[in-house]
Amino acid sequence: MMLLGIALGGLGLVSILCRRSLMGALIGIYLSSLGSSMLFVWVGVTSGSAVRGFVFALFIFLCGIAQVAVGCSLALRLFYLRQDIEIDTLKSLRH
Amino acid sequence: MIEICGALVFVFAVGAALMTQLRGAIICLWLCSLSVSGMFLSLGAEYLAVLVGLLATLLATVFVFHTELFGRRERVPNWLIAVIAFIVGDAFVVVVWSCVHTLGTGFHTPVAVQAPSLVEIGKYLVTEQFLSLQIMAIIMLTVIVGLGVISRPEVRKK
Repeated sequence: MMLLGIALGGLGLVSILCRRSLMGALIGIYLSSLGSSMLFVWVGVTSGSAVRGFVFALFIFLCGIAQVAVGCSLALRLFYLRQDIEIDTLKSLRH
Repeated sequence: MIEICGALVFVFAVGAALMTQLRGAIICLWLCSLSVSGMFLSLGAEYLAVLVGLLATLLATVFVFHTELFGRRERVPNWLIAVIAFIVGDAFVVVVWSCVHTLGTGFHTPVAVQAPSLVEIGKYLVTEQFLSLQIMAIIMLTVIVGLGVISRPEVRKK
């Protein structure tokens, strides 16, 4: 299960790097946070201090959700201003 | 149970990461989250399982709404970028896995461990991790305010 959690993180990274739209990158971020929280739960359960693992997994998962929520609103803003949600378009928000 | 859920998690995660059809990717992501929730349930983390299941459903709804708004398909990435992304992802897995291996053999089977109750988790959260809890609360408050600021409608000057 440790390997599965790490693999989820790797797949999230692939999704972040590979996809060209902001929504695809957000999917990658969510996958990564899911994988890392899974890793912490597993390490906590198998090392004898399950409470610590659960609490750290909770913090990581909530931070991931917060990132995704901010990304969604950023995508909404980008679409409102530029009618496009490609990551490259984000640079144009500076002007 | 854990093995079945683990296999489902991997399959749906691959689908979520690689599908070009965004709606299919979101459905895969939702199913992957539900499978993770099932894994948490079998490991004794009931509250995390409920939280992941509920938030994944909410997130999938929001993602589907946004995808319908922005367009269902995304452009196929450049093959060079895709190859580099796969190499980086594989390198990430190898590096983290080798780091985890250095932790030693202090892990044992989860069956022997008694799953903590919600009272224990709450006491630990309030006594030992109170500063982390406060920082988390501040982060969430900042995110809520930031969401309102970022996604506000454009005010046009007359």
